[in-house]
Amino acid sequence: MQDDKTASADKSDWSEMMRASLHGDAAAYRHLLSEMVPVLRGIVRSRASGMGMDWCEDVVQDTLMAIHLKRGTWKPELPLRPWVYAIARHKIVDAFRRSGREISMPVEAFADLPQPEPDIDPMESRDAETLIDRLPERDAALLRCLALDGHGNDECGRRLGLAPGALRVALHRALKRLAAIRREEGL
Amino acid sequence: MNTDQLVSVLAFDDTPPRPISPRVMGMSGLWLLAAAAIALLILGVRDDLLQAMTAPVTAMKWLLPLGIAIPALLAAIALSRPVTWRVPILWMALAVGMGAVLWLLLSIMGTPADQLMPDMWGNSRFVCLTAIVGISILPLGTALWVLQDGASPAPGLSGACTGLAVGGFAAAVYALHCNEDEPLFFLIWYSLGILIVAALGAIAGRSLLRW
Repeated sequence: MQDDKTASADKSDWSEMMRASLHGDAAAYRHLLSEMVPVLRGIVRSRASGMGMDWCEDVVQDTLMAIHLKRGTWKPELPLRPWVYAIARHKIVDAFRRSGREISMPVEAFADLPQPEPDIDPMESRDAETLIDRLPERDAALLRCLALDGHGNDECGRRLGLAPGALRVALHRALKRLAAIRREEGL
Repeated sequence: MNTDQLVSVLAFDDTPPRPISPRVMGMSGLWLLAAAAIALLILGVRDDLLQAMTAPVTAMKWLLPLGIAIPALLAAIALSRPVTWRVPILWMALAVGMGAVLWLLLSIMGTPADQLMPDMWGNSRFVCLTAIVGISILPLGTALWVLQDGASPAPGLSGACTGLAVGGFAAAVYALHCNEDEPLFFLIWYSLGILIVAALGAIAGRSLLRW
């Protein structure tokens, strides 16, 4: 537990960082998202008793994508944290609803088994690769180049023959499609 | 793709988020105007429009639908934010709706039994329902499409509010043509038309506004 002082300092930090991000500060945005990751993991794991680590990491990723794609629904004059929690809550509820529909075995039976330690940090999500495969070919190539091969915008633009402006549009669309596929597949 | 990779991809995407509220009003407003123009070209505008708009009873053919549409629109926009759970403005739409129900009951009680059915049934109920729903389709679709950028905590309710709003505006447009001025007629058929659009919005919203 954090004491009140730290908590409120954090709050203003996140809101500040998001405001900077919305004004085009990419470094602040990347920093903010990375800071959110452990917090989101904590939230998801504390709510998800009996669900596996993969399941939790998927929900964390779904939440991150929603935070990114829906950041326009945050009012910059309000603190960011309640908004982030609302997004996370929505994604947790949604994931449970889908699991309930698609997993028929009782999860309680496994709740007492010792869980692996959450130290495998760069966690692969279930079949994120398979999900990327379902995107149109160029979207998939772009995400693979940026995410899996770890190249920058310029390099990926060159490889795929995309001008900076076109790459921007293509990336945004690809992420929206990926979010839709993750939502529909509900793996 | 692991989580760190996802974070860096997300950070690459610097397309700024688009504002929702002005686009909902602007784009579906334009479609509403277009649909209204077409409907009124086909149906025509009633001859005694000014008189009707200034007489207290017939003025209600515009005031009641707008009294529902405007708060419902504000509620639909408010509900595009995930932290919004309560939309008190919706009580205003509900109050107007209750007022209409009360007026309907009083009208039923104050009408002689042999006059009741003809007044309620009217002569143009089919045109009325078709026009209200028909005018609504494109503006409703546009509004829901824009609201997909939002993050509604309750997609069904968001869709219903959007439908109530669009249906209300469509009814007010249809009232420019319709010259059946019996409260028994318009209280029933206008409300039914608006409710059909609200139901369409709720059904569409449940799937379109999921995120």
